[in-house]
Amino acid sequence: MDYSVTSSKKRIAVLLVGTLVLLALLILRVTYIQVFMAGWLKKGAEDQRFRAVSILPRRGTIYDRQGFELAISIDAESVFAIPKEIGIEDTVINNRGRKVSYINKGKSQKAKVAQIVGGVLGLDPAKIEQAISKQASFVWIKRRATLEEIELLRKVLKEEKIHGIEISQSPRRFYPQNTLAAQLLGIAGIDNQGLEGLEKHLDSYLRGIPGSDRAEFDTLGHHIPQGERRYQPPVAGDSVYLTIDRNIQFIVERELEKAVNDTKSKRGMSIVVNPQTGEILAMASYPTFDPNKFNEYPAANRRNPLVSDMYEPGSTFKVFTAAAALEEGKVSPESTFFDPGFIVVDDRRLKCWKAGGHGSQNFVEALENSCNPVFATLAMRLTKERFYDYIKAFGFGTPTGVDFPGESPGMLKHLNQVKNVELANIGFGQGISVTPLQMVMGVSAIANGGYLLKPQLVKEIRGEDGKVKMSFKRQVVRQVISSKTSALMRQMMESVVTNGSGNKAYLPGFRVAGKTGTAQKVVAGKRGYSELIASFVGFAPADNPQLLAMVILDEPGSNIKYGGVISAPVVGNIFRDALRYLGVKPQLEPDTVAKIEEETVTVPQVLNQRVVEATQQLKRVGLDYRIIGEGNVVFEQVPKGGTSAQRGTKVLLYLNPEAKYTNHRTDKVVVPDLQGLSSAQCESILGQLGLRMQGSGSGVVVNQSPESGKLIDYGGTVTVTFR
Amino acid sequence: MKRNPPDLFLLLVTLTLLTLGLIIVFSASAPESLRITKGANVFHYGLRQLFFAAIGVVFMFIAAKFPYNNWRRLSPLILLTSVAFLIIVLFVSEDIKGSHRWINLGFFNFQPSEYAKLAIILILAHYITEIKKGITTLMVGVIIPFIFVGFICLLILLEPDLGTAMVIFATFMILIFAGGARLSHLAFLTLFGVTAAMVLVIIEPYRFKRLIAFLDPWKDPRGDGWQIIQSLYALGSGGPLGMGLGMSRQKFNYLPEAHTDYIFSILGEELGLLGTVTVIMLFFLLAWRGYKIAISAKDTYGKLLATGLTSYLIFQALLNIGVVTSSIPVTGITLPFLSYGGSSLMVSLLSVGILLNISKSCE
Repeated sequence: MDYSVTSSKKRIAVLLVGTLVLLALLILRVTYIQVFMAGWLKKGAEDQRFRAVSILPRRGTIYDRQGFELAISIDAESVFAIPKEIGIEDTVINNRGRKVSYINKGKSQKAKVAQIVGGVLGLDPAKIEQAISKQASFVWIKRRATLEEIELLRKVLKEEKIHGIEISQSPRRFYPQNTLAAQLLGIAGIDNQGLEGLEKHLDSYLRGIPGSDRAEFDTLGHHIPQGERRYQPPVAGDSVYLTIDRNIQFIVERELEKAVNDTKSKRGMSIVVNPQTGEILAMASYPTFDPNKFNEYPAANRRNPLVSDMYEPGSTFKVFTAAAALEEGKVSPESTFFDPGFIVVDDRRLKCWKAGGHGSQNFVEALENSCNPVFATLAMRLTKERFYDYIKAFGFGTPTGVDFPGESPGMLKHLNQVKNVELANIGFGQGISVTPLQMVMGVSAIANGGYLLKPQLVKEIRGEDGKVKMSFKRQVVRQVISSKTSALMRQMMESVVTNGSGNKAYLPGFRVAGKTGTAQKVVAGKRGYSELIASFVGFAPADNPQLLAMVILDEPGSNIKYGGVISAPVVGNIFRDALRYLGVKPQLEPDTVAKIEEETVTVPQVLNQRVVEATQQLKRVGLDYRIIGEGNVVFEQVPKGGTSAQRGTKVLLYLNPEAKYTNHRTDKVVVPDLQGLSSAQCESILGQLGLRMQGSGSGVVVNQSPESGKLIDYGGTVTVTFR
Repeated sequence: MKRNPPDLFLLLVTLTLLTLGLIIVFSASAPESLRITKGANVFHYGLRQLFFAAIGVVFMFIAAKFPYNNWRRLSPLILLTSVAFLIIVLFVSEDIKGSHRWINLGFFNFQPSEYAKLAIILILAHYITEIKKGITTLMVGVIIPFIFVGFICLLILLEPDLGTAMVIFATFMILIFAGGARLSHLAFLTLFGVTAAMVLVIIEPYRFKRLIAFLDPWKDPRGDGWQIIQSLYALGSGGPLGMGLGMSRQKFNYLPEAHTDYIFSILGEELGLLGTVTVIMLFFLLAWRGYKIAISAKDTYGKLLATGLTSYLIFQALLNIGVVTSSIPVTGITLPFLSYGGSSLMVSLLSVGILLNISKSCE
């Protein structure tokens, strides 16, 4: 027993020591893990349970120069209305006895919609009604609604069959003016990335900084209750104020669309700038697209050719030849030339556009006539080196640096390739490729005293708080010609409009200067120069240019394709409305007034008038007329009211009620005769005229107020009684 | 006969471990409690553990009063019931994660293998005391008890529960070692044990994978390495001072068995190195008091019984902490006094009660 007990005690002591050693090893191990490996292990654990949700910042708004919204971002969980679509679905029994559903957009329906929506969202129904009755394509109802409100509203809208109230559950880009300035604005993708146009170019400002919501999650994706939450709010993008003026842009697009349709052109382009500052006031190309549903349009419509496409300018380029030659003293306005209809350069006969030539003419007349041989001569007098210096100084061959993606530098022939024939050609605008924007900036330099300016598209960039972060000022690239040459050029270009090929841009009361161009165009797949580009670039007032506009009609399909005939009047129309909008006072000089009164008259506005009254009015001012179609009210007139026309011009009066009608919101509207018409007919006619109807009774119209023929403001109301 | 007061130091160490264990079980089991009660009771497991602890403490005090030599007569009966339970469990238990370890008694799940540990210790201590010098012979000292123990281990391996089988086999070896078996015999047994373990590992693909995962857990972090990595993440996140009581993140589904096998990792995450070293030190104190009782026990049976009880508790602790610190391959073993589990807790406390009784008659 003794032996065994001693042995036992020893062996148990061994166990104790062994245990001690093992536990000590575990202490070392735990220390190693919890002290030396702790940082790395902790990070591993955090990496697996922390998950960050990126929060998209709100994309900055794009405004025009006046602060009109051109591109806005719609928040998630927001409610907005499309006023013109507001209505409640209803059914009616049609004349075949079938139930037909339609959207009733009446006034009482709007009130009901306002009542319902206001009730759900906790807003004042009167204010909503006011908002959805506005003449706007988009109004906010509530910018940040709760998920419960959204859910309830969605249900109620469905139950009540309400149309025109929309819910946005994810942030998205919206272009409230639809097609206006679409190519300029471009498009932004669903994840707040600018894809095209200014949205792309200014993306770094508009984008903002994404926020993040970092929180701890268990393996099943649930929040860990005591977990940390690290919230980093997003920073909204900056807002951009463009130099674009919404109203001028609207005028330009309207005129361009009409011109393209009238001349059956493939495409029309226009830029309006302030030649004194280099600010682009409007830039448009037609056909265009609606960035809200850009997928529905051909991709080509999204291009902005004014910046990215080159063309051969043709005769409009002659102003640069003229300016350079004047500046260099190679010619003076009084210099005389004789044009036999061609010029021989190195054994090549370069023809003038006018068969037989212009004969004897001074330099001013040569520009009025756009005489090719004269400008070929001037180019050769300048020598190619000197002429190229001017061409480059006017900005050709280099991008203008405008804030827009994909700008083309244009294309100049290498000086080594320019022999006399090429030089003569460039003298009248052939064998050189330029962008429309380069042209406009070049002509601005001629018009503004000789300064080539950097074109400005962005006026200001403002932070979310509205503070100006960056503003863009007039930027002179260089002075190209002296102010004296500039003044001379202005006069000469004015006489192009008053006496020469640009007379269709003539605007009574305003001094318009300009230059026409009909250039030839190489079309892929066709031989030689098969199509034309008709352009006109002009500025007004000629002595102190405030606006400079260029219109280019690409591949016109009309019988007459001269720039002076088809493009110049478009510029004239743009100037007429834009100058009036800008409040530029007409300058009436005594001698020109006399001339105007003698030779031209202002076409009266006879739209919506009875034929008898319209014809009498035309006769009174000395105009002839021709009636086309049947009916008793004038639905369309050519030329338009307010334009100037030569005494005795035939004004076309269209009576067909189906004829396309375009309205000018600023115009007064003549109240049409509604006697005997049904309610639907009245609404259709008044709607086309931009008038509202307030009806009582049912049946056909027996009484109306104001009576037909009265002038009332666009948007006014006509009260009619049915019986 | 000389009567000493029971070893109050051992009682204090035990109650400290028990209290610490209860606190950590309440914390670590909270997410699982919510999950199993569908959010109704965050204390589901904690309260159960508290209940088992209360019963266990009662058992401990009864055992402390119960003269330990009486266990000698009871031990054959205890062994027989234990074997019966081990056979029954193979047939009546539910399949939980591929094993059959618990008999559902309605109010709690009884784990026969925990009971078997105690039974083996009681019977072996009795047997070795009876054979006296026979312990040095191969047949009587080694082979006969080996057949008994081997049979029990085989039953447990059928559940299958390699960890408990290892604990029982190791306790057997420690007991015959303390009882005076020849070292050559023990060397032979060790060789056998290691070989058997290796064979068992190799024939069972999941055990082999665990072994491989232990060597490089980051080779398959989402699969076999997951548990080891999450355990280390928990310990590492705790650092020296811990994230604070109740602040464990790893218990939220990242670390499986957070309140049972891996309770030590959660303790390390919440209480840091301070907590883990404290627990290891408490087990060291437990070993010290337990083996001291064994050394100074007045008779051979008391010595062997104390050695067996101390050894099996300490061996489990070493194994468990070794596993969760990725020091040894993964074996499913709970940490005495700390892991959630009624059978284990009650048997552990009962064991301490027996130790306290032995301490009363120490020389």
